[in-house]
Amino acid sequence: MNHWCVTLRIRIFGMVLLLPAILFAEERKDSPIEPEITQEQRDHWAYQPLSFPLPADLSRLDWSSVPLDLWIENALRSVNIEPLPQANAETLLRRLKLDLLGLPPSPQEIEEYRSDTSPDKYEKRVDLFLASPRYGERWAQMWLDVARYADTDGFEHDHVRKESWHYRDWVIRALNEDIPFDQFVRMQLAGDLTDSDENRIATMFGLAGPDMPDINDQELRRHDRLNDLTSTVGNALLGMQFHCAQCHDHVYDPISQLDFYRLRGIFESAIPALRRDQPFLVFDPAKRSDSTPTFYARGELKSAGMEVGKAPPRILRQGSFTFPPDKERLHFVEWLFHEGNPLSARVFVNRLWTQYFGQGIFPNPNDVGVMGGAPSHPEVLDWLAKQFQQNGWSMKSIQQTIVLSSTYRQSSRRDGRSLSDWNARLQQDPNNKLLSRFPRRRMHAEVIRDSMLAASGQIHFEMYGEGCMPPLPSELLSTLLKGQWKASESPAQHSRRSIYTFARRNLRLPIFEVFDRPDASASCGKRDSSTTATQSLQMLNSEFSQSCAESLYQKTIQSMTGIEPAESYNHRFLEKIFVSILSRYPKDVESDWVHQYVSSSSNDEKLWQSVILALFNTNEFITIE
Amino acid sequence: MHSSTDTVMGLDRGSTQGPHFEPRVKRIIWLFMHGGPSHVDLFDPKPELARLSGQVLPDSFGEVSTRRKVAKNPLLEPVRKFAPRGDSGLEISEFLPEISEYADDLCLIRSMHGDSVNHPQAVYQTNTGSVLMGRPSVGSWISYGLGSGNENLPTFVVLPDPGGAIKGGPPAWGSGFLPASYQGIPIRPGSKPILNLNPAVTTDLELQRKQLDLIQRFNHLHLNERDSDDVLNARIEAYELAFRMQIAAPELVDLSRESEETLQLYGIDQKTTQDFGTRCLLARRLVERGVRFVQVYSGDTNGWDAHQDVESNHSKLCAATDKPVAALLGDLKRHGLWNDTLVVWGGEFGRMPMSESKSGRDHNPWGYSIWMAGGAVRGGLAYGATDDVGLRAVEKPVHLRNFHATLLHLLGLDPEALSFFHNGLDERLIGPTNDVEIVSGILA
Repeated sequence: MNHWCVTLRIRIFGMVLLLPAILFAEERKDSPIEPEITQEQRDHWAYQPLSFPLPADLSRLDWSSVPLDLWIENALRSVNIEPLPQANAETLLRRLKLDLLGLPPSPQEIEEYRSDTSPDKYEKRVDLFLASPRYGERWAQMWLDVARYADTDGFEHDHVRKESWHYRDWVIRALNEDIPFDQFVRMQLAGDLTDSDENRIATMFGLAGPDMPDINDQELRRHDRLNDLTSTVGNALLGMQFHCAQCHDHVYDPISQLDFYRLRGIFESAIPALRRDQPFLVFDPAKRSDSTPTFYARGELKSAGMEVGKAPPRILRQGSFTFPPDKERLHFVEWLFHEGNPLSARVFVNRLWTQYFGQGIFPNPNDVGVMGGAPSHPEVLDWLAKQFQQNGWSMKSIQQTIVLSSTYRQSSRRDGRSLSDWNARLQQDPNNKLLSRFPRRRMHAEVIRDSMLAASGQIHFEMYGEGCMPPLPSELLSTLLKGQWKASESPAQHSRRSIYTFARRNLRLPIFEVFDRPDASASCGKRDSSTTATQSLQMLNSEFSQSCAESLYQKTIQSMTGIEPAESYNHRFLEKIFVSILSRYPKDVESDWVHQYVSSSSNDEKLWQSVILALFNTNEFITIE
Repeated sequence: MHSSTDTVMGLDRGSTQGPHFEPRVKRIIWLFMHGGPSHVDLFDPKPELARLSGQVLPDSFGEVSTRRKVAKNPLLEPVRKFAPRGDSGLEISEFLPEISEYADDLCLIRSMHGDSVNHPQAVYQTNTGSVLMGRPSVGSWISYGLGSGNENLPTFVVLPDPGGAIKGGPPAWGSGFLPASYQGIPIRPGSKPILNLNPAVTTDLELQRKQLDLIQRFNHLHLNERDSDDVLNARIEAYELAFRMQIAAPELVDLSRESEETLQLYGIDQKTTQDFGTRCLLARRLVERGVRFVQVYSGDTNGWDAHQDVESNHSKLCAATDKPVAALLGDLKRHGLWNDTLVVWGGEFGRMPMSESKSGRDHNPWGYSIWMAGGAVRGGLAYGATDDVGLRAVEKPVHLRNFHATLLHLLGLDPEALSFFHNGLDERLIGPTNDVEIVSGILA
């Protein structure tokens, strides 16, 4: 079986050199040679203890709201960039609500915010949003991307996993209840070893990837699932590219193939011998395996070699390692969160940071290795990681810190500053690595869909339960096997939040697919943000877009009953749809354009709907500013 | 080489590199026979299989890994007769009389092999190089490597069989970790060629243009207030491309300007061949317009998967495809497209020499046939061979990895250099190993 492992190539000054095809160690399956960890590897930033020395000169730092700002501000001032002021009220409220809840502010919320004169009105919104049940619905998707979660198996039959949604609901609840991150992980890796039965569902984390239950060789199926689990644990929780090491020692990072199979050893007993066409989705105390942790040359099942131990990667421990004899997974979780392991905290706070700023402090949240790129602000990373540890691993509290920072609240635009100041900023910081302005970013697929449903008044906030199926275009139904997609009977189900839509691994909803929702084939730490013509076609012409435009039209007309049609009627209408979609009032020139546009024909209703559709199609609508 | 984030169509960061060296062909039409056509009944004559028919496979062939435990079933003789064709004498069975007329143009590889006996894994491997789901398909790699040849149409187009889904589904033409702009776009004959090409309610282009002008006014004002932003600018461009596609795609699928003769040539006037003929003609029209990679699927969810009865299954599918495929070859020549187009014909695997359910055959990835045609490959050639019964590739075996490498090579792309940096790795179509070879024996 040709598994994808590591590309044995090194890039030096842009040139591609080829290393010898295979390092011979793994060929010796009964006595594999483990490469020594070099001093250079030991010195790599990711494996150092947390450390965040304060900037030398604090006196010049007057912009900061929370400590993380100190290092951001200091780096900016060192290259003579003045940090930007806070974004204006509407922009900030929209940014905050889209980020924390994945929904745009309602016209009423905008009005209340504008007229609120209290000095802590922003802080109050932060608390309000963090306490909303919509928060867990927004942030669960981030974790489900990491967990490569879907509601079906993939491959030929793409069978439905009837119980899978319980895991999705478990994640939403855990986030809403702010279960500390260490417990959150403990339940997912070892929920079957604790007393409470309800936590077993959390162990689907390890088994949520693609599976081929009808494969002839069920031993191979188990082997693949264990390797997928091990890769996911390494990538998701340590940010280490473990998937590379199932076939060869990692070429750059200190992850040997033995490291891989020792980590896998911790989970070896949790996946029993599998039975054909039988799903296996959660760990089960009644179903265990007594197979010995083993080394597999080239990652191949048929090349089973020597027995290996059970241990975390060498780079993160001192010398040999023995777990107490039973409940290794629980001990492994304890090890993950002990103070000497800086990676659990670093990796997770960087995941959060990536969501808020579009780019991580280190670029790839699943890769702390040498190819992943160095952190832009190591002190910010480590300070946040320390806070996270010290505040009992509260995910809400660390997010509160981030959104209260001046860094997060700053403007993305030039505003009143001179063009030369702005151009200097772009020149000094072309990729916005220094965060010399708030990074504008396109919404994620689910946020686009949910925002359209919310703005048009259709959204149905039913929580939890089986995945719902909005109707699919007939062209797409024909790419599926018969009966694989049956639109939910109740129309209200079609307007539920995206997190509750049924996630078929072999076919994403068109709006999700074009806007870069990952395909759940492997753990995804950072989504692409592509720009394509098929996105434009989806937004302009899909029945979904049309229905949102119609609904917002009807809703707005109804809200204006009792108002006499007068000269200002159209203008009031326009204001309402602008606020609903873009969270702001139209500028004069924009009103003029729309009035020109609608006066060119007599069919008012259709024309106004096409104006609404046009607003949903603006760059402004799908951009978080 | 660039990272997978924040890619922008048409701008440098997500855009393409161009060929590494002088290409031999500019585009590929891949006729994908889904389900696995039987090489021993179509392109790979095996007199020894006829002789041994009814007996079990001799022990000398060793253990055989199969999908449905058919290893001990009696061998089944080829269900149709073979005959030498053309000047080259290339042997093809009676199933395919029309394609046989082009025997001297076919470059037939009789020694293909892959790694999985399962449909979805084999469909993925044939399309993406990996048995795992979620990797970029060949068409996506080529789009990424070469960019678009037509600014009004997608670079990679898929013409799915209307009869039903393939096993493994749309990930077969997905772009995996490559940017979404490189994924295969399904196009269908008729009034709705591309998903959401036109609004459900009105198709008045003039009104659409007016609406788009309004959108772009908002967008330009928005952009100006932001002192330039590549991504915002690219999205403005994407809307213009979408509008041009709204004009180009209906023109593409409108066959009214094609002559009666052409329509007859493809069998569009006959019920049996109408569907596949239409799609073959669309394939020609697509490459004529500069589309780089066109994949035409034959076969519904079961397709060529002849477990029960090869004779009835293949009779039906050959009848539907033989004439259109031959027409496509002739038509490419007629339109001067032959020399820089490569046509590929093949499925995700072949079939076993043993019988299944008496007259059917099980999957065989260990040895099977694929053919190519076009200016860059040697016509009338049979390259490589399977063993005496057609079970395994034994002479000059061509692994799918080398087949993919050869496709890239013909397009002027170096398979070892075409890479994309993702999750800390330089990912490639051919995978991590450098143990790849261009199949130089087939090049013209």
